Amino acid sequence: MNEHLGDNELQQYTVEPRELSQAALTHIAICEHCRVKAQQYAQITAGLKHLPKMTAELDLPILVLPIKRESFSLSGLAVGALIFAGLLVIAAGIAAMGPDFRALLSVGQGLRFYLLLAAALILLTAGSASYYNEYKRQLKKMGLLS
Amino acid sequence: MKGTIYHTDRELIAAILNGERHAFAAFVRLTENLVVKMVFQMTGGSADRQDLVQEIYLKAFRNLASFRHGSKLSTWIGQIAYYDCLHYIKKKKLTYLEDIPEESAMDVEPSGEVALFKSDLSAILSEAVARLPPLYQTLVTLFHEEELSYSEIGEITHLPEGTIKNYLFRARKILRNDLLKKYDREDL
Ligand SMILES: [Zn+2]
Repeated sequence: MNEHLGDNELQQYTVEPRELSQAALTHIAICEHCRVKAQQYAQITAGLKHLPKMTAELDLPILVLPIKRESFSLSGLAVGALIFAGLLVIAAGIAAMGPDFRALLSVGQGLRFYLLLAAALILLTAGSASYYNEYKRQLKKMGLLS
Repeated sequence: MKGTIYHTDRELIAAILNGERHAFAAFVRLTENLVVKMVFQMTGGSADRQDLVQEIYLKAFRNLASFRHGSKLSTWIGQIAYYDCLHYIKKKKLTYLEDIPEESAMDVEPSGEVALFKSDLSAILSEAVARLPPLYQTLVTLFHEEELSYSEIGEITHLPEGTIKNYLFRARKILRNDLLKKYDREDL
């Protein structure tokens, strides 16, 4: 009899039999030694398909947030935050430099400043509320919040 | 609706983006074995594995809209998982393809008995798989459990197909030797 087949060929007998030559197939058919080994590999291969499965423990609410982010009203929040940050810088400047900084700004800025501040606060509040509501709505829709 | 069947990955993703709860759950169910096992195997069962899995899903959902409909969902999330695991391994200076002792891959003759395992195949085989180097474990999961092709595994791991095949040959050889040794011991 020819030499026995190698482990790779014996594995291929199960995994990808089409890759095996006719000579190898014939050898397995007539050689008890190789047939036993090939069948052991077949058992391993079959067993590997049915190993115990693992499951994920996920924190779903955190994962939900990014899914529908395009539907969240972020624009109001972003605009409000930007204006607010700008005004904070001005306010900090006034606090630190007093009248000198105030003089740098155009006349009548006092009223404009407070109007802008009010607008920014409204936008910020509305943006936050809509963001929060949308998040809650998503969670409810997915049954994660009653 | 419970039990909704999504015929294609495209349908499933559209449903997830639409905020459908069951689509979200279906996506996790379809991919969790692959993701959780890959993380468990590649990081050697690290205590951070749950955080890693969470991060992988977070990344996946954030990028769901960028999923290309030519590829498979499992291959796509597999890539994210593999990349994150490699990043973690590098950060923690772990190894994922340590040297295999010479004897593990030596030729072992058949004992004359066809049935390698009479019972508890699943449990015994699981233990043997867990003793393989991390990368081999992952390749076994991807090829045998997830039934991905060599080219799909190549997409995930960026390994050449020939290398994947060779690693799998070695992995199965080590498994067989490991199981034969175990049975020899038990037979004594
Ligand atoms: Zn032979």
